[in-house]
Amino acid sequence: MKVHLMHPELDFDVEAPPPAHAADLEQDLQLHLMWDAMAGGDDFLRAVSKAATLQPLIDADAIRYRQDAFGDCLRHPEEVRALYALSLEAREVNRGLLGLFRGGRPGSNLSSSTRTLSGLVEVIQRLRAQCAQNRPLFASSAFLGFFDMVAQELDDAYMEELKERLRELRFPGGVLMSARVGQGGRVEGQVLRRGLSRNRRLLSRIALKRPVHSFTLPERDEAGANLLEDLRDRSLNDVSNAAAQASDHVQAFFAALRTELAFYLAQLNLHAALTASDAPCCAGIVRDDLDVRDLYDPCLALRVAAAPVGNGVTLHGESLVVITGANHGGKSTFLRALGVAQLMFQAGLLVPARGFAAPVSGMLFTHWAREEDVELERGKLDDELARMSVVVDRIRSGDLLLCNESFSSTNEAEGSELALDLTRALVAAGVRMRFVTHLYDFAHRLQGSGDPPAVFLRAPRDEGGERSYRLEQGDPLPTSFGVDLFDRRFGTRHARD
Amino acid sequence: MTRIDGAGTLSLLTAPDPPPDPGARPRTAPQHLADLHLDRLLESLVRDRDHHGLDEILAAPLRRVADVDHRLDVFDDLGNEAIATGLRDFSDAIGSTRRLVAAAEAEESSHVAEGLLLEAIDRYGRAIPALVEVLQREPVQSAGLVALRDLARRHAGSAAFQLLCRRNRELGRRLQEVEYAVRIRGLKVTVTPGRSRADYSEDVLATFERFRQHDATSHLARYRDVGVGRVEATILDLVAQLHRELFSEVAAHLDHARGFLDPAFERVHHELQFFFAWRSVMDEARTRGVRFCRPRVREETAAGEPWLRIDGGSDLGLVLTGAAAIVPNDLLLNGRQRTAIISGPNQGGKTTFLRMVGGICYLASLGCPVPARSALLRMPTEVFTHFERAEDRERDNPGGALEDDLLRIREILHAVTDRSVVVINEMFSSTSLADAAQLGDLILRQLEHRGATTLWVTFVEDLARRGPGTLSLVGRTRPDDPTAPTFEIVPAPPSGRVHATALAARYGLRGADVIARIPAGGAHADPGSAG
Repeated sequence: MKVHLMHPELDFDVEAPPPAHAADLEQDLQLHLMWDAMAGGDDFLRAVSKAATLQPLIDADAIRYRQDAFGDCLRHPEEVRALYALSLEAREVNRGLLGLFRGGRPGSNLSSSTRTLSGLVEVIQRLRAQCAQNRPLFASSAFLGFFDMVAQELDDAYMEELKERLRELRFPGGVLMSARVGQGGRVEGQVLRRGLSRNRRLLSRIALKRPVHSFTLPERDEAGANLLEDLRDRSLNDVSNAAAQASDHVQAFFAALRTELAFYLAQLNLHAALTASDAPCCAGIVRDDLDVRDLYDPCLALRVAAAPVGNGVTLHGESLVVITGANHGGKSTFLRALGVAQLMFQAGLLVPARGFAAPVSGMLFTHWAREEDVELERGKLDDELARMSVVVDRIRSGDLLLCNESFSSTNEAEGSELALDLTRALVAAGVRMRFVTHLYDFAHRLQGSGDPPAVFLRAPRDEGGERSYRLEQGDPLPTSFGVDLFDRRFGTRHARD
Repeated sequence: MTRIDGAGTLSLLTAPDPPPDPGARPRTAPQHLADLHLDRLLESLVRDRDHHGLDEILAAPLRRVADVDHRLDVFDDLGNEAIATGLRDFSDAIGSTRRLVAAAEAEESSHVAEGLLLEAIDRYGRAIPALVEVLQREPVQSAGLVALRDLARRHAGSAAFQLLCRRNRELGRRLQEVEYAVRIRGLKVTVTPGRSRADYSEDVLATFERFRQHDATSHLARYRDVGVGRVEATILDLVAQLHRELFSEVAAHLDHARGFLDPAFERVHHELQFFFAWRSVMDEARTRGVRFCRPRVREETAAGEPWLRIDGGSDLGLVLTGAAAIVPNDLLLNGRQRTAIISGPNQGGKTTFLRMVGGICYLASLGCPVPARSALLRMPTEVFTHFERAEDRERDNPGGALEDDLLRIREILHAVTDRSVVVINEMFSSTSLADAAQLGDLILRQLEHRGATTLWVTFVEDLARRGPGTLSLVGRTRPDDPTAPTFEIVPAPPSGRVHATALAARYGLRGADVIARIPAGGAHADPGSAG
């Protein structure tokens, strides 16, 4: 029984280790704002949101599968929340017994496992009922598949079997086993026989075999009782293990349900937060070329609680977008929007745009000029190169790399040379790149050579005191607006050169 | 059981002829082993193999070449994996036999004790023929293992031994066939004859299988192999009542077998731990690229042979920390050379070289294969070390560090003979260069007078220019970068101050650099240097 609400075939692993560069992504794209909105104050929802964002889907069907399932969630949020509440209840069944449970002795483990299983059987009964009620309301293959599986696997006959097992596991007639003479005369090789809840005749048949030898420990012999308990424990070890594993299996099922539903609840939270700011959302489409309309950075929308200015770009076979122009003109914001939207798209989330079509990429990488580089003892360029080298170690064809002012820590000639060399090599290797840069020489030589083909966007200059944040397609301009600003932030002196 | 002749003198550690030295061998002072970084290595060997007297063996160098060769011969045989495995199996079996016999002696329940003894005899009974089989099949050369083989063969071939084993096997098999059923209900335990059936725990798992998301972790409680408690002993008594005849046969058999374990095998079991321990060190060091060889240890240097020669030697202490790539080094003291002075750049492997030579001499005197391609040395009595110690510098000593140096070297000078190896690291660094040169010369004269072999790492290069009796060694650097050491220590005259100049250049601190870096105009024009 697999939950498979997030993928038609694959389990979702909330604990999969994040990629090594996850911390960079989080910092550069300010993903924590999005995850906070998804969490709505719930750490578990946050963890699931984070894991889902960092484990991109790479095929169109899987993305659509989640988009469709979320459609159901938008139409029936209460039903989905009720299912989630049930999955939480399953976890609570263990909570009260947890202290007794792990690391105890097999005998006491067995009785607590049996109690847990009894509690879980109650929850399973209610799960069956909820699924049956929901079945006619939902439309996505994810939810319908789940409901049908529950109806099939957990039918009446199976529920009877469950209850019978639980009665047996209490061993009402005592623990009966066969054994051998082991090393040093130990009771060894115990094979436990079924505890008989109904058919007591078999037990009496065995018990009446002759000769019978028995002894009874006196009530006050505590040491002896402990030894007997030890023997009983050792004999129950296998079945206790089996019961504990059975309980684990049921819990794991509910945990998977909890995790996958949490993803949709988190998305409901995000959707509510964005629509409250009048920010548009849409379901993205997989296409070979990027084509976006009114794309905005959702993290910015969440921070300022208003719909930010959206921007668009359309590619025709180019792998590279170069964004130049005025400071505070919305370049970095748009770069972030491109990154966050790609992550959301490939997590199967709605995307922050009016229109969004994009190819699926492998991994997303970022390379940001960092203020804190100044603090490092190592040179800034050293550090930039070292971080880029880490990216190059990991990046592969089909991946997406966002560069924000890379190689600005050296002079323009050197920086441009480095950037050009690297960009050409990466694009040739099949990497898609979005590059925000002040390096005019770099942008200009890219444009002049057409190698590689690129689309150029420009942040317009702040002329009338009003910023439009509207990027326009256009050639890079030679004036570098940002050098002074950069010098201030980095403590460099490029402007004086 | 009857004893086999010849068992009394069997030893893998000392040669039977000439008879072993009755006096206890002096132990090497712990400080010397610590300086050579052998202390922790040797301690770790003892820690893993308690109760075998290993610490005594490892701390006491041998005095006789015959004993060194006796042990090295055994090591040579152990180089044959089949022999090594066979002896390890044998040793493990004797160890578990001893533990089982001890447990049986401590056991209150007679039936439980019988079970332990049956198991003990079973292991012993299989161990001896297996040992004979291996030592006969493989070409055993060492006197120690030949003697062990012959003893084991006589033992295994004896009628008493064979009867013991046969009877033990038969009774063990019959006991294993006994089956019974136990019911525990409250405080009452019932034992009946019975047979095993299908395992109920599998039924439970099968029922819940459909919920499985991934492999379940085990919740099996772990049980240490503690003895059999009296409840189980009572159950066993009840089982014995169901099978009276079998259990009385067992009792009679074990009564007859009393004292079956021959003390000679127990002793060999202890002695083998020394060889296993050292071989484990060799195995680990080999994975890091170290070679081992059998050192050639001479009572006296033969005509035409060098005084001391090590080819491709490694410092085991360093190797086993895994800290660095290993650069093996050579040492050759020829003719009348008794002293090697080592100079050169810091962090260039000089101290490592000292530890390599001191360690190899010490290990050879224990009869161990040494970490080198080849080694030829005179039988040394003792390795002495004099290393600079940080704590001595801080001690409130009226005469200061210099006096402390002198006191320690004086102790060593009292003890050295022409069979001593003295290893000195940076002595007299607290005094002036002229003083250090003069004092060093004085100490070396005394050491040479006593005929000791001396290795001395020092910045006092004059000590390396004392004449033909002194060998000068230096730490080499890379030809293209005089600041990068190669960790090779080679015979060469002292190199002077080349290294220091190169290091200054790298940091732009030569006189000419410093002038060039201070701009005449005073303006900061270089964008790369800001921040």
